[in-house]
Amino acid sequence: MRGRERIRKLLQAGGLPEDALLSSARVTMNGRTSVTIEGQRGVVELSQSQIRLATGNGMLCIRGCALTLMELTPALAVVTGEPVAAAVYD
Amino acid sequence: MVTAIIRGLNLEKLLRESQRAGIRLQQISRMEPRAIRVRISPLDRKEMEALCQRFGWEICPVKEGAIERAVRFCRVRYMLLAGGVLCLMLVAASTQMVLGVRVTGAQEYGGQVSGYLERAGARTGKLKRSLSLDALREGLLLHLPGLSHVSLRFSGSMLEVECHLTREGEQVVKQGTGNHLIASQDGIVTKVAVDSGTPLVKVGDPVYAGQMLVRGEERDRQGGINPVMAQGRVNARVWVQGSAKSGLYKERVQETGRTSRSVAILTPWHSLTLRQAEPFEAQHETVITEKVIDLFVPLWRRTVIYEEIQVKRELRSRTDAASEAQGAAESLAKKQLPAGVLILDKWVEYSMIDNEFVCASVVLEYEQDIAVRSGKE
Repeated sequence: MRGRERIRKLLQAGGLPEDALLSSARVTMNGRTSVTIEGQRGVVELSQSQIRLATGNGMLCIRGCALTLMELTPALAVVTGEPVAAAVYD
Repeated sequence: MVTAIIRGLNLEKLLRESQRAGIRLQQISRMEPRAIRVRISPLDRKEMEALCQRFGWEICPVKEGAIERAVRFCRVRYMLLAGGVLCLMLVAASTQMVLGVRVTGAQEYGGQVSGYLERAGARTGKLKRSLSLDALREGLLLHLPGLSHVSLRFSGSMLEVECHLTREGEQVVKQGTGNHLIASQDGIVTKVAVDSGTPLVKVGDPVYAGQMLVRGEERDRQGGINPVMAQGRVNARVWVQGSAKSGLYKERVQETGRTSRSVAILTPWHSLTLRQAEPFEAQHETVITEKVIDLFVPLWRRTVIYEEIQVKRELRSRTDAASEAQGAAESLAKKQLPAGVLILDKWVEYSMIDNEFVCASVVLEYEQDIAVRSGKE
């Protein structure tokens, strides 16, 4: 983890893309109804109020109401509904 | 895409396994703690069923109703739905408008009818409810006395205007105003069919051109005389004649064999005669022009060959001459016949003129209606 942290700081200093080189997840929120997660590694929890996805940086947790996984592919996950918060846990 | 409900424990593991297997899932939602609803591609369905069977999950395909499919389709292609609604609105609006005006039966009044309708506002793009068909009808009859009846109706979005013209009725006659029937040419009456008036001739009577055939008067029961317009048919045998003559002597040209020639040199401005020939009394001429020099000043040589001929008159058969004359006379007579008539009789007269010509006169007889209204010949 420390090595990974050092590499991340080096990439940040060099201005290089972290997600492409470190296989980090990229989270994109479109408006207030859709969240696109690229680089996720699997669904950990699925419910209408919380969706947790495993990523290279930790656990991504999306909370909200009427959450639905609109699309789930090996490279992409799209969460729709009324997401309220998104957080990453180790 | 196929909709299915998957039941079991630890369904998140199913999602991870399907993701590892490369199966694409859509619209994943949690229905119950142990059930999720997913949409799977038909291509991945069997693979998904095999995956569920391997791990013990229960997969139940859901048959969507038509309404659910339609709702889902409209949600995805909402612009298509909006376009369809807009088209329906445009069609509904167009049915309320006049998209064309068709005028029938107006004949020579067609332009005036169209012009009046245009001025009255009955044109393309006008709303139907803004037009009063009764007012248009009355206006057309008032402004165009030549129309006896006008019918206006809407046929879809087309305004149909059907016109009927007035017909000229029979004129009221007065005594002595010339409503008789007279003969247009000489003939012998073969049939008399009178609809109104008093016939003055009967079958077999010879009539002359201009002779009155039917008088425009009728006697009533009280003995009074009422003027009427004479109408009817009077058929008669009439004739046409054609004459032609044909010569008894035929001229034959024979060359004697004597020839002479004259030669001349021609320039664009002058001509020089090198040899002048003596002309014959009767001759044929053959002119040959050849270009001799074609340089700055062209030169032509013109040679004229004269061949003496002798004209001999030969007497030909009188029968041949008469036949030729008769054919020509008959052809001339037939040209005077009206179209479609049947020739009832024909006779030919021959005569000789100065012992040189045979003259034939052909008379053709046929039948036709010779009654015409007086004043109209």
